[in-house]
Parts: sequence; structure tokens; C-alpha cells
Amino acid sequence: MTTDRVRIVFDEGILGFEDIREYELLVDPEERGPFRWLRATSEKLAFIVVDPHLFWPDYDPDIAGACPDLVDGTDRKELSLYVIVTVPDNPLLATANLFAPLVVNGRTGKGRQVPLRGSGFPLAAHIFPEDIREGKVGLAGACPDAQVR
Amino acid sequence: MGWPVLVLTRRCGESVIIADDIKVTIISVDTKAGRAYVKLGITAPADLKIYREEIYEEIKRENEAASGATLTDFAALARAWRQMKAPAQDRSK
Repeated sequence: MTTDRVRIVFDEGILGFEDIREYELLVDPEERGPFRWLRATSEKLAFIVVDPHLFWPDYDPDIAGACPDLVDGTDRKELSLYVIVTVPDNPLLATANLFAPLVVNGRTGKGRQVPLRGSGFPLAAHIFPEDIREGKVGLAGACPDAQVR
Repeated sequence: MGWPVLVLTRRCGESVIIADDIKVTIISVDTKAGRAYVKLGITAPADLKIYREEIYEEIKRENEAASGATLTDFAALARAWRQMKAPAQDRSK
């Protein structure tokens, strides 16, 4: 299996890991799922990230307003949005950080974690719907909740 | 942030200037239920990062928790995703 790598430079690092700037996004060409590894190129550090629109179709933060310098002069099609996934002991209870998504400018290769001040988006939203989380099967309702804190 | 602390006393409406382009103004001081609240007005360039300390710490903690993900976690997420995308009647498989 070959894996595509997209290099992304986070000039400010990621909060808590400010000294680590260079990452690569590992894209599985077989597309076996929506999750990606965002891996530091020189350190043993990696995050699981995902396109939030696959779980929250209505999630549409004001990126241009939150980080104008990062997205300036770039077509919207070249901007990607990811959220960092936190996986607890029970992976079905995984959460995503909708409050501080990662904005990636594909044209410049720059990325940034952008806290959305005053947005009300949660720092930890369950990514899987309740029936999956509780291990119940065969129930309707595939819409994950994203309760505002 | 291991720098020494500069302590200044200001009255309401007074400000401090930081560097050349940041102004912090004391807008009001209130007491609610025995606790003091200070309202600050911060005039600064739009791209300057300003957070309540606890928000900054929360994001940092969340990132640190997320950084511990394993290959097993990754596989479990992909599995749960497939389950979520499967038609409801197939979820029991």
C-alpha cells in the first residue's frame, strides 16, 4: 500500500507543541475511511484528524474572519478544514475539537490551529451517534450530536 | 512565561500600553456575589492571539490528550465509521 503525504507547516505549532512546526498529512489512497494521520516529520508525534463536514455537515465556521492572514488571496477550494480527534479508552466515545479546528492552505502549504473565539463550538463533541457509542445496533439516527458547551 | 511580573495600579478608564500597538483599558470593576470582576478593553491588531487563560489551557490539554492516539485507536475509529455509514439493518453484522 502506498500512502500520499502532504507536507504542512504550522508556523505557530499546535498548542501544547509549539516547537514542532513541520507535519505531514498521510492520505490513504484506498480511502478506507475519513480519518487521517497528521504526523510530525521529525518527532514522534501524531494526531488523528478528520474532515468535520463528514460528521457535522452544518459546521461552517468563519475561517476567513478568524485567520485572514492565513487564507488571504487563496481560493476557498484550496482551503481545507480538519478537526483533531481525541480517542479515550473506549474509541466509540471519541470526540473532535470543533472549537479549535485546523485550517490548511493548500496553496501555501501552511496550517494553523484556529480557536473560534465566541463561536460556542464545543472543544469535545462526540463524533459517533448515540447508538454507535452505546454499542446498540440496528437503531436509526446517524446524526452525531454536537452540543454547545 | 517565566518573566518577572510588573504590577501596576490603574483606575477605571485608565489604560496601559504594551509595545507600540496594544492598549489595555480598565472598563469597569464590579462585585457580584462577593466576587470582583474586572472588565478589560483590549485594543490590538486583529491577528494578535488573545485568549482567556483557561481557554488556552483547555485547548492545550485537549491537544495533549489527542496526541496519544494509537494505530489501534485509528483502526477502531475506521470500524465505527463503517458501522455508522452502514444501512441501519446491517449494523448488527
